[in-house]
Amino acid sequence: MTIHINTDYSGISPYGLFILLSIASGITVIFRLCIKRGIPVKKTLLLLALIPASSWCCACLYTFITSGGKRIGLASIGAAMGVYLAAILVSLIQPGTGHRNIMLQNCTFALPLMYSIAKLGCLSAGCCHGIEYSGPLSIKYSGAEAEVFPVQAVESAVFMAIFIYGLKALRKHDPDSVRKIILLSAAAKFSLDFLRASHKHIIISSNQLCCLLMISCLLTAHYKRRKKANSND
Amino acid sequence: MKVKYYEVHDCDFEYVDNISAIIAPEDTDEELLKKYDFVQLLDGRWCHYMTLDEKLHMINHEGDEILIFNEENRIIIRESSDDNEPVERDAPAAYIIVILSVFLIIIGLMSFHFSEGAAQSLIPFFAGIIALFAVRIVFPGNKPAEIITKTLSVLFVILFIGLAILAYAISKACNNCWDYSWDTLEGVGRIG
Repeated sequence: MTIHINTDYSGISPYGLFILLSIASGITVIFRLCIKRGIPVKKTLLLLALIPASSWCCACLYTFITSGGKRIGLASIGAAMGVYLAAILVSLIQPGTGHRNIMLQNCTFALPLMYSIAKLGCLSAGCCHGIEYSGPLSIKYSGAEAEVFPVQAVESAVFMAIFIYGLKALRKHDPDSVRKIILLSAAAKFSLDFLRASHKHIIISSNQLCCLLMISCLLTAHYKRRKKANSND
Repeated sequence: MKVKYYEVHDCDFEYVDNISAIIAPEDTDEELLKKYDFVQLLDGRWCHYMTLDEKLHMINHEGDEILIFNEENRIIIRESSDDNEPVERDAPAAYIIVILSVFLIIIGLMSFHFSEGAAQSLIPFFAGIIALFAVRIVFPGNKPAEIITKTLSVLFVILFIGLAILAYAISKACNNCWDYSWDTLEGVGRIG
């Protein structure tokens, strides 16, 4: 069964709508978590005011840098960096001991949801499409000759699952929930990148390098923390 | 050491991520905890990260069985603080405008690189510059605005000097080229 998607839009682009929805949903989740976990309302609103501009700017900067200055566009890793940057900036503007960690954790819980919704925008626009594939649920975009793998839909589903898992882990008060979300997200993005058409003819993409870097930093920090805890015991 | 933190009783003292913190007992009312700047950790416990003043208060009462924070000693703790930062530096609006200005300048520079029309990219660029200078005027104590405007001013001066040197070098090269072509024309004339 092949799904046909028309990418010739005369009115409002669904891609833009999905990106706005992604930011709105992320902001809503971050707001709820910040208020629930004791971050003052004023500080939370500052964070929400900064997130759209920061994530947009960093997403554009990321593609500008990784393309060697040849193009600008939106990149998920850049947008994620922008969200974290917003939390760090707010903690510098209004210092409050411990608040920065809480805000960064809440951003981590919301990011998989934002990515999941943004991927639906990519699915509708035809960007970040998959490798050539003619099996079940293949996608054929208007103007394209070949059918492709629905990698955007798969990414959307996987990251939605990670988001739901994260919320459940938070509800169960799992102290390792943030680490697990970051590991799962990085591993999923790394793996699914192989199914993208842009990955053809390259061994490892810039996104995958970032994911590997993230995983190695996390594991190193976790190892150091455990070593310190064992030496204290 | 047990801690009585205002209306939150029977708290414990603990280091959380190497920061001195007061941990509230389970089943304490969450709204009460939020009132006293407690935050919820990932493991579900509510903790208040101690301020410098509170840590000093704890050191001064190290031998006590119960460390008490109440309204009476809150004033004493506040008065012993040497924190005299000017209010205008703490205005969050100033910081937000500075950050958004920086983003506008970056977006302006990037779109200048790609767009065909200069106006499209100059608008966000100059909007960012104007906003930065507005913050300098309205919030003169804001350090980030001061640093960024001074840095941008230095960069503009360097750019201006560079352009002046380039213009001089081009004009010198053109003069040399003109003299050479004039000599060549004279030579051609003599041959003729």
